[in-house]
Amino acid sequence: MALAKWVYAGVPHYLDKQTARLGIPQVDGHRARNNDEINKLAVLLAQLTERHRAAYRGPDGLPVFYELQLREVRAIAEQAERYLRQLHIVAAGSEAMLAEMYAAFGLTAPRRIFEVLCDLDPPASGHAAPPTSAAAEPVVDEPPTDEDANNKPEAA
Amino acid sequence: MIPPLWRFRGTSHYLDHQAERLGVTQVLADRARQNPEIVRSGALITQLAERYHRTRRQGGVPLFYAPELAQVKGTLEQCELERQKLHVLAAAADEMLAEAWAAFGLAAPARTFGVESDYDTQTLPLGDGTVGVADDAASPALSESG
Repeated sequence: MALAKWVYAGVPHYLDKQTARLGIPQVDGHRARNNDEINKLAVLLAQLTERHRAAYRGPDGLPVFYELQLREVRAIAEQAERYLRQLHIVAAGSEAMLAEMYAAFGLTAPRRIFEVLCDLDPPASGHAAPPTSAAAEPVVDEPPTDEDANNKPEAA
Repeated sequence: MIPPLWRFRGTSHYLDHQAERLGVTQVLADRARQNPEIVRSGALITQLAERYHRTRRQGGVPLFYAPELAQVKGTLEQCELERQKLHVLAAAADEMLAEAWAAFGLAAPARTFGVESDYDTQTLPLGDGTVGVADDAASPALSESG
């Protein structure tokens, strides 16, 4: 059943809420406002809001949609779903890229409290990283001294 | 035996892999390549890859001084910010669409993926045929003190 009232509060509202949920500084949420995918998605949702508000209301105050209208709405929402999928792909892709980088330099990745999870991930898998060649563990050396400058390291 | 070196394969490789993992069509992964956040992350990681490959080696293993590693870490932290933004965007898109589907009384399509946080409250079956939030999850401080 359709909701009697739906207020689409605009992108910043949802970004602020999610930054609070994920424990991310609000500054990052503000900077994310100009993202193409979220803007396209917002435009589609704004159109849907218009339709929702302009819909004929039944005696109970609920919006009434004809089947044909609902199919149009569904098609627009499906288009919006594509932007959502794109955002999940890039978020998961950035996770994978960074995981490799931390491993390559032998650094410990910062503790994260959120990530993109998939129902199809095998249990307890390192799902974020794509199959790749195992990186060599780097060695941390002491800062260079005067002696080092005279004795440059040679290729192994 | 010298272990193989890490190499950054470009954004497209990772997007393709994640599209496959999440069960999303490759077309969307191709379209997502232009995303500014992922492009910026890709540029920073490419710079780091240059450092990684130019550094001196010991037995085939890259060798870094501590100041170098600190610089690398700083650059990686910048990438982390871009990653955080992408997660906020994905989670916000999820919420916006969920509201829209509900507003029109339509069932949202089944998704196999989502942004999960360790601090999300889990709704669990309480064992009496109802669901809700377990007491210890809702107020851990109270349950510990009580």
